[in-house]
Amino acid sequence: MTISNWWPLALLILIPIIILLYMLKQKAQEYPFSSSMLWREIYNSIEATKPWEKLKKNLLMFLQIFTVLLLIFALMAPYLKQGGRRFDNVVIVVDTSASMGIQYNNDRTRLEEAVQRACDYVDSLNETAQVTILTSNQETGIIKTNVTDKAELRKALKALLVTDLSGDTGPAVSVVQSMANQWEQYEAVFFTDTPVELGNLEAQVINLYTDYENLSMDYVSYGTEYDENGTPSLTVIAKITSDAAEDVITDVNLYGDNNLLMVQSVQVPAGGSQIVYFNQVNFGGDVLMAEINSEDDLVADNKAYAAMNAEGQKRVLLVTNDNMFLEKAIINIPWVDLYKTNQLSAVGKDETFDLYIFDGMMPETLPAQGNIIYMNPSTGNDIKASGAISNVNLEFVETEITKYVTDFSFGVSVAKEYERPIWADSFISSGTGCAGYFGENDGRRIAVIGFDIHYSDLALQAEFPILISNLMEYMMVSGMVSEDDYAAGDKIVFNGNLNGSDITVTAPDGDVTTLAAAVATSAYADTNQAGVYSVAQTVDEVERKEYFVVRFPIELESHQDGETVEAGETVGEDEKNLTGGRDLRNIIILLILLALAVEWFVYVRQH
Amino acid sequence: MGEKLFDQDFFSKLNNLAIAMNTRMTHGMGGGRKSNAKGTSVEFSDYREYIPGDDIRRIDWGAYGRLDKLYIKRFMEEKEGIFQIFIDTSSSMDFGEPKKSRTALQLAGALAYLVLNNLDRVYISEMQEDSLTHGKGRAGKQAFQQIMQELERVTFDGKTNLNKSIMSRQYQGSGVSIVISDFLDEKGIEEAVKYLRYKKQQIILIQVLARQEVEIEGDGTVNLLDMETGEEVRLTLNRATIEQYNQALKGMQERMQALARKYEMSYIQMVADEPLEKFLYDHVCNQGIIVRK
Repeated sequence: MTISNWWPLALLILIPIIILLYMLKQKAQEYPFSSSMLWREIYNSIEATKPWEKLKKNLLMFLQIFTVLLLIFALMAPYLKQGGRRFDNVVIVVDTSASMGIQYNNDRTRLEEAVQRACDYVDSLNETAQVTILTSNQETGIIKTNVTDKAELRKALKALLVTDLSGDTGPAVSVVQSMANQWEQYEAVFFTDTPVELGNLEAQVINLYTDYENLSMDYVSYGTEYDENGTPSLTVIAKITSDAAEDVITDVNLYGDNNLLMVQSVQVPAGGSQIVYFNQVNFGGDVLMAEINSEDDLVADNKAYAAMNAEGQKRVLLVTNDNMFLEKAIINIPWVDLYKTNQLSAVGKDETFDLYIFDGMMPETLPAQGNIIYMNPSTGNDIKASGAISNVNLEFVETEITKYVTDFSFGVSVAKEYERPIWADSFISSGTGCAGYFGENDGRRIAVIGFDIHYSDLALQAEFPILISNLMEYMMVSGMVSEDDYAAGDKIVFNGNLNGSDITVTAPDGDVTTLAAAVATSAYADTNQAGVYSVAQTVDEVERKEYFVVRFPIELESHQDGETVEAGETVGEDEKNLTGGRDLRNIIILLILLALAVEWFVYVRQH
Repeated sequence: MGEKLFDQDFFSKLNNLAIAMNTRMTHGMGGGRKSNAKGTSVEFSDYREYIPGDDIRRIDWGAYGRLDKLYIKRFMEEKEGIFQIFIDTSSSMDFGEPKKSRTALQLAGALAYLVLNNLDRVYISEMQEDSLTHGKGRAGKQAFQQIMQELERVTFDGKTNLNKSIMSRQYQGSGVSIVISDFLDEKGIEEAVKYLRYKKQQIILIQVLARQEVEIEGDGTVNLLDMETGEEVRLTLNRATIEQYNQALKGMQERMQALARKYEMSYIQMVADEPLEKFLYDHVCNQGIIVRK
């Protein structure tokens, strides 16, 4: 046992004071009485039982001295060491990844169990221990640093919440290792449900993995179909995976913008997956959600979402004298409505388009909105042709828009080389320079192709329609979010319009984040919750609102293969008891209360 | 005693009561009580042969006709009852709220009134440590005012020696002796009782205790001061000691009761704050000491 404070010993002076007070109190009062005859009779019997009676008479005093001694002892903050351990520095790492939301037992989740055990552990620490609390999921969060106040630590632990992020204890181990290097002695405890690679770190791992049964809604996706009348309807598919040891029959609910659209019953095989089809769904809103309609050990992965931003026909204006190859390639894309003109003056009039393709022409003024592809442009509109080349083989560079056509080369009789702007990537290389580039500038996507298709053999190759399709897909993403869904924890870059208002992002829990349009291209990283986010910006007094989905990390968190341990068991470098010792103060305070209760009882009995 | 001991209403109630006597009177003036003596009452007793000098008006001429002898008819003599009231005037009686002394005087007054009201004679004696202040015998209702004046002059101080005090009283003939005291005398009262029985006295012991003696209050260590002797007893008042005191008091009262049975006397306890009227009607009547006329 160790003592934290010695100064309370000075309070021992109270004990003689108590005795003195009792002696003073014992000064008897005069008590006139008719006759002492009967009193003298009993006085003899009092004398006869003197030792016991005397003790009994002063029992209150002894109890008070005992209470004061206990009080002094409590102030000295005694601490009972167990196994001879006492740490000045303690690091508690709590895993807050999504799988910690799985039920540990009927009463609480794994995280709640971890928090409870961590609180117990904090209580068992000596008063002077400096405690650091870290959280571990995809990243490592520092919650408290070198705190000795146990109430503050407990409060911080109880405030921890499960995230929808996948878990990786590796960074946390590195952080603890770097902290530990400064300390002569320390203790680190990990509360997690996944194995921890401790490396050289000496730490205890409290494994909270327990067997569980979980159904997960892996994804929901949709396609648009048209009947003979051209009326569109959706075909929705959803995938469910089961951990259960037996087949599970459950209902799957399909919601559109939070309204129930359809319900289907499905049997999911034990340990397998099942795909559910919803046909002819009539829904024209923004968000589809599929939900498993039964309870399991992990609730967070029972829903999957699909945002429907990109749907609808896109309008493309092809400004050309004549380009049959290009026209045919574009018409084959079903979601594109192609409009054609040979008059540059038609651009920017009444109608607006999602994409303008200038084939061998250069407009004097650009349309206010819409993305642009320049075919074989000369210098102008920020495009700078650096030179002409002839009879060369051009090659596609591996980029986003050269998917499936990488390493393909083709012959061109006449082409141009350009100075590539800093915001652009080259995707056609002449070997000596850039013959084509693409990128995004000022909220608008621009691609430049530095040759006339008529003077190349590209149009005759199978790769040509693929390239055009890639290019169309890239160009048609005119929204602020470039993808419909992200993994939890991803950093998202919004394509905001620099001339627009601030961008507001609304998280599933209703939290609104405002990003300045000027810095909107910087990452939005607050994607710890799975669900549907909305992002909105006002440009020219018109509000643009789009949705994107953050997925629950099903592959990593929903279906774990862990090592099951009994509740309370610890796994670590060596299996030490978790409690570092016992702070005796609470026990002593209880004893004080007990002594006071006895004193009250004795007082009532005696009077 | 500054204040009046009684009011008129109380006396009118007392008029309905009389003290019963078990013994036949042997001495004293004529009165309303039966006696062993022969006298002039209307109650026939027996015959006796005529002796010269007898009142010839008492010769039974009928008997002379039948027997040719002179016989005198004899009748019972009725005498006054002699009542002796002893009041303990030691300091211990001057205790309590109300004081035991006041209650004792009221009780003595009430009993004296009953006695006088029944054509009997009463003596009131004050018991001091070794002596007895023996009052004059009073008879007749008119004597009651004098008794009251005497009672109001009684002072309570000094110690008690009940035996010695009572035994200093000289008796002639039988009667009733009433002792009003707290009987807190270590020497007891047995000797005095024996003496009174020897003197053919019907004995009534009335023990007056203060409420403060029956129900002890207080706590902590106290210096208990004996009001009679001035002796100090240091003790701690708590539940246990109070319980022991109660046991001691009960023991003393049981000893008194045993004594009363042994010598065929009456022993009655009274708490000073008890209404006198209630005490007389309930306790004293119940014991048959006082009867309703």
